[in-house]
Amino acid sequence: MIQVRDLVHRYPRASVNAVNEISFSISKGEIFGFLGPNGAGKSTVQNILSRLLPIQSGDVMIDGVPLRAVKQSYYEEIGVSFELPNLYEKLTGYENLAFFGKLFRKKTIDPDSLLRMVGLENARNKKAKDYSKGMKHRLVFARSLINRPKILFLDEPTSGLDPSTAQEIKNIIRDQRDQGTTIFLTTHNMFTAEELCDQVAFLYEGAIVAMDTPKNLKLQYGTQSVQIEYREEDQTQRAIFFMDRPEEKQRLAELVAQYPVITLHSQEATLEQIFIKLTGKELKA
Amino acid sequence: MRRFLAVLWANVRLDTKTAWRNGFFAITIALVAAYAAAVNWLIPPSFEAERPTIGFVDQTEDQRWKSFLEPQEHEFQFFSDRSLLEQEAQDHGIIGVVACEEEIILIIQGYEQPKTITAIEEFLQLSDQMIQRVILPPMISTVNLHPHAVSLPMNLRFIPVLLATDVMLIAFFLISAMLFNEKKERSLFAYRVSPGGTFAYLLSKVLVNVGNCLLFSLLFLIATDQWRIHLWPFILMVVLSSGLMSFLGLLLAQFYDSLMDFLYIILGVTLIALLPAIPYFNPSIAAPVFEWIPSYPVFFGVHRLLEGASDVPWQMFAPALVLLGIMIPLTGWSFGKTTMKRSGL
Repeated sequence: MIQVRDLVHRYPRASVNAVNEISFSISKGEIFGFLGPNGAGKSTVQNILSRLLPIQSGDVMIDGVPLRAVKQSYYEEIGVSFELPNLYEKLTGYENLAFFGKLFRKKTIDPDSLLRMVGLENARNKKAKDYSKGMKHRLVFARSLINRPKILFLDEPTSGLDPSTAQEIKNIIRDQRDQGTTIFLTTHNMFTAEELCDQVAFLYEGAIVAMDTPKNLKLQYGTQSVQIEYREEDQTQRAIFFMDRPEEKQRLAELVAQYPVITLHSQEATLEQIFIKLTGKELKA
Repeated sequence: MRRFLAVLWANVRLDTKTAWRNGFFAITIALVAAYAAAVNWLIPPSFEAERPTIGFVDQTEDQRWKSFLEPQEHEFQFFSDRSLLEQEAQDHGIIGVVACEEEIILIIQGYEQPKTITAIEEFLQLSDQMIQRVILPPMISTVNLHPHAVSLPMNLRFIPVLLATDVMLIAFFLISAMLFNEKKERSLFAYRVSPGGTFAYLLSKVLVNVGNCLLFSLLFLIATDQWRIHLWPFILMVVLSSGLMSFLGLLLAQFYDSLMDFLYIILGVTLIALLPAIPYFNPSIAAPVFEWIPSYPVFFGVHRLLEGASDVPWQMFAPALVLLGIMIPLTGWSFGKTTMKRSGL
């Protein structure tokens, strides 16, 4: 569905590329997760794919058609959900959805059923400015579905949501995938990525450092790790050590000998730990 | 085309709704009330200063000056004695004339405009020649090209000025406020990943603003009891000027992030738009460059219509039409390249 080859992007007056020769492909009906810390280039790639930024170098094909050649009608087939709320604040939730519904040539989903889907039916006639942050986020997400998009771009789709609402949103995303929608998801939340994505790519300083299914990444990079909590100068300290690295094994042995140990757990590596292992940086950085 | 009109209509409904809820129409009604109050009650029908009184002493033997000027008695105050005239000039600041056999003495205060003194001197010379039969009084007749035209009282002469100010305020200021609001709430960024399109977005905002300007203009005419003028040329002028200013507002405001940053531009453009007031109140300073200012047709066209004319020469609209022809594609192109794409990312 989406093929990206050797994509490069540099912002005006920047000294380094924001996106540096990245390539990936996403099949129809797949959830593809872009994981990386802020500034890694996730949004730049999403903005190129949603045609807000031009392709400077490289190629992007959408369903066999070069992205450079697609027209305004491209927006008939995509849905974009942003991390930050961007609603008409003086309009009600219903009016926000109804307005966007009228911009499409194709038949769109009834705003009321979308509001029900994201649990906002009781806030139908409330102005968006009076919505909480989580409600705004849900409305933006609902808006991205109004045209039954073939490709859905989701930027931090569960950010700011309580666990139960986040779970509902994840279920809707899975439903969309099951209906054949291709989903491009950018996040720095490893749990969301691990739970939802069929394939993930770790993006760091504009380049993809690893890309595969979450399971394969764990098999390939995820060695057993040990998490230790210990007391040092009346403070509880916490550390993670990868057992495939001799120097970390040595350091763990030193800690156990030197300080009183509170807890000691062996664990399977998470996507975040793999990211840290590959880049030396945390995802939330 | 049907698709474009459907998207445009959706945008117009949205912009009207947000303009209403942001109080833009309330501002319009408040301005109508304030401006109408100014025209109806605050600005006097006449600003003309009283003509300077001229005191006159005729010391000629045959009192020829007195008999010559008697028909214009209301413009002169005759004194029997020079000392009385000088006393009156001291006390009430009048200009004095003492006509002797061989000379005429002018008594002035010193602060009069030179052209006032020159006019009095020329009048006295001409009168002297007529008295001595050197020349005959000229036969003056008047041909009125516009016999039904009315000379506007001063308060009504301010209607075009206030209309032009309002076209500026609503069309330029409010449209930029609409854009900054959408930038602030980021709804603009959601619109640009929809199939709505740039031109429908721009045209909708311009139409709502032009509608608001028309609403103001028509209510203002009703409130000042001038609604009997020929409306079609009036509507055309308001639509053209406000449309042009709206496109200009969008073109410039897209490069700024907030109304505060944009304030200097608003002040600058307002000053330029009010420049036609100079030739309007002082026709001797008229220069062709004023005609290219979008508010020009409002100043002079509305004035013409208020005087009773049934139309406005098309030449008056021509510069605004040319500018609009440039502004529409320029705004669309610039918006499509910047605001609808890269800005705010």
